[in-house]
Amino acid sequence: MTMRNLSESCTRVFRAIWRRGSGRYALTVLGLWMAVAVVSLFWTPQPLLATDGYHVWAAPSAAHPLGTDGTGADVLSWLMAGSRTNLVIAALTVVCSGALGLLLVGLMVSRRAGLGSVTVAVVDALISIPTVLIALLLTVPFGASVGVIVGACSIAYGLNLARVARPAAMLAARSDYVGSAFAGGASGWYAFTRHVVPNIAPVLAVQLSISAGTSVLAEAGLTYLGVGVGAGVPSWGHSLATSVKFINVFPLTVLWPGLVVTLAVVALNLLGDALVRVGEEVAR
Amino acid sequence: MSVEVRGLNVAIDGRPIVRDVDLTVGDGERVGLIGSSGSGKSMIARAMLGLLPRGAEVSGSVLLGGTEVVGAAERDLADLRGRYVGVVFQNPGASLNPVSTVARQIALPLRLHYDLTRAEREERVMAMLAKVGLDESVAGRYPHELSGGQQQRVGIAAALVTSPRFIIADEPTTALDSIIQRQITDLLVSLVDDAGASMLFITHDFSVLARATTRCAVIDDGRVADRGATADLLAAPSTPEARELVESARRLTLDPTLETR
Amino acid sequence: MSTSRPSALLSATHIEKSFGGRRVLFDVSAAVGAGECLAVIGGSGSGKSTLTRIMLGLETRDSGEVTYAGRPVVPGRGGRIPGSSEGFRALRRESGLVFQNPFASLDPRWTVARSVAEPLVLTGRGPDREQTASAVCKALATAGLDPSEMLERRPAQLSGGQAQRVAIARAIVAEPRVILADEPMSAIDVTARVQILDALNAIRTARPDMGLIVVSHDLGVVQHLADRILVLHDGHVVESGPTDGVLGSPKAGYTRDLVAAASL
Repeated sequence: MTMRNLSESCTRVFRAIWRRGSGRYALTVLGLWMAVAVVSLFWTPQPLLATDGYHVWAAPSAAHPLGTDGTGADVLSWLMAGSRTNLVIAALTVVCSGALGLLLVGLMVSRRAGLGSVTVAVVDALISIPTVLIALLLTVPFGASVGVIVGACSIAYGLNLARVARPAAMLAARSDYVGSAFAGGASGWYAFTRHVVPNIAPVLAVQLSISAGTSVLAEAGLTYLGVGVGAGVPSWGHSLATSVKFINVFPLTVLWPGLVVTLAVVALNLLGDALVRVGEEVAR
Repeated sequence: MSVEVRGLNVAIDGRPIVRDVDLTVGDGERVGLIGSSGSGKSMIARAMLGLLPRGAEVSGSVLLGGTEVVGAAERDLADLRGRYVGVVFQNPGASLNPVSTVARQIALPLRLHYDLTRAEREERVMAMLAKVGLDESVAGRYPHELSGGQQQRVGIAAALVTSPRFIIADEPTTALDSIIQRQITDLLVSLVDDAGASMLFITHDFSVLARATTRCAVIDDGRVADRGATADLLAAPSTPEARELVESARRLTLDPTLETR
Repeated sequence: MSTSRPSALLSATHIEKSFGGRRVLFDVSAAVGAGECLAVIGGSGSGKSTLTRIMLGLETRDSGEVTYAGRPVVPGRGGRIPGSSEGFRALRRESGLVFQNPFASLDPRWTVARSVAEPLVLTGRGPDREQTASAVCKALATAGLDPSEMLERRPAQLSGGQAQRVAIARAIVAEPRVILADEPMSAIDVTARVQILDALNAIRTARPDMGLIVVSHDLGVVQHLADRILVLHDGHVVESGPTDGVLGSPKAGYTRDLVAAASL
């Protein structure tokens, strides 16, 4: 497929998503998220390290639109900076889990029967390991960092992706059109990239958008457990973790990061739903 | 049982599929519906059973032996379907339950609609198996252990076990080999005639229709394009739609007088 | 009964094949010459698809020989290209396939233009866009379709008859010397079957040197197409000969049943 075709079909998919109410919400929230992440590179209402010792746990005011946390740091500034970290985590998770998932799907539908069934068995065994456990294991050598979250999410969601995409991939791989491509001298790589991947693209798009959403939740959870982003790195999970202990006293400071996480996760899930519908439309 | 369809219209999502169809199947008569795929012939059969997909709008009247089907309650329809109407489907492999034995599938309509003892049911099932030309040993087997022709015999047995008065056969031979097609058609005709039931036979193949029915209607784009005695239509089709179907059937069947290539 | 002749383009002799201990072909021989159409007829389970797939090198055989243009056809391990004979690779390059279900044989996400062009891409003739486009249009026209109407459509926008003619266009686009059509008319309407019959006859006229193998369970559909007919039953050849002879005076009982089933 040429670049022109690719950009054309991207525009078409974008328009089709925009036409639905839920898709419009998803695209708006995602657009806002990216815009805020970019803006936070140059500007935040307060410098991140500026703390106001006289106004800890402050209620919203003109100087601190969302109030301050326990060290007197501006909640809005930290959330804005956090959106950057979460965006990076979500994007890297999509890329890495997508790559791992495709690799596993490729092995599963391989014409070498042995290779396929071994991969299926291995994936089924590994999929039972919870994301948290993978993250804990990864922190032993690497320490808590963004990389650990991305690694844990990519492994867990990549395995899941492979399992979900396998039926559609098998259907395409065993089809007559792939058979006739092989008869014409096509390689396994050709059949996989030209026929199998396009046919599982809808499943991939949906799973990956859900993975991106789940990565936001995973970041919050893992950071709360102390195996997420390192200390001092702004993230939504960090904002939640620092204030959640005082939820009974200062509920507002928990509400803001919670709200942001919820908005983002819902948006990514709705995007997934919209992609399913669009996929159905295109198939028709 | 006689069947009368008057002014039947079916639209799905606002798109008309069946348009103003009139059709009569007399008591003990075998009538055919012929048309290409997408012509709406199967939808007419589904409307007769009250088995239309969601979002379908129906108008007109379908009288099955005096009972109005259009707008009838689902409860009454369910009883009507199993007891008085039998259906033979196109793809026996898909219409049989893969995890249930042949005997259990044939017995199912009996369990649903009649209060019989186990022994009575078993007796009916075995008698039905013999009627469709299957060995007793088939009773305990699963559908995947049977050939396509055997599967369709099971499908016919399940459709006829309650001695329905009206049988709808929806492309019952399309998925089968040519020799098996003929056997299944002949079997269905002889069973229906022996029981004195009436039949609506749906196909896209005039050569099958000629063996199975005495009268038929040609369906094109949801309308009745032509109707009459099957033999007459085959000999002298009067409308373009009928002519195309007959012409196709002629070119695909052997005729001793025709020159081969 | 030997059907292999010295002039044969593609011939199979004494083929035997079992699947998981069940024997499906017993000492079967078949051949198709250049410009000839061979119909392989039989019911389901007769081994007709297996035989023809073995002939085209799409399936491995237990014993027997396949020869293409005088060269032995020996597939590599597991029926693949590495380790195969030169005859096998030539056959792969110079053969085309038409399957039973046109919708399963066309990638649902590809346009007609891309699907039809695929064999050209696979044989390394893809890069020249103008030549590819004209070859695709020519193939579609030969199969009885209007290229301008079809090129940008996807399989879901085609009728069964159109989709199967697109598959036929794909099979001939790389100018193969032999084509296998496996039950090309079974999955579609009677009226559309006639279109397929016309398309197959048209490609024979367009490519007079091409060998065509048609697999079917119905003698009726091949009467105006085949030069010779081979009847298989339970893995054995029960009858083989010129079309007129087999249809006019069938010798085997099974063939007589087939003739009866294909008559009005």
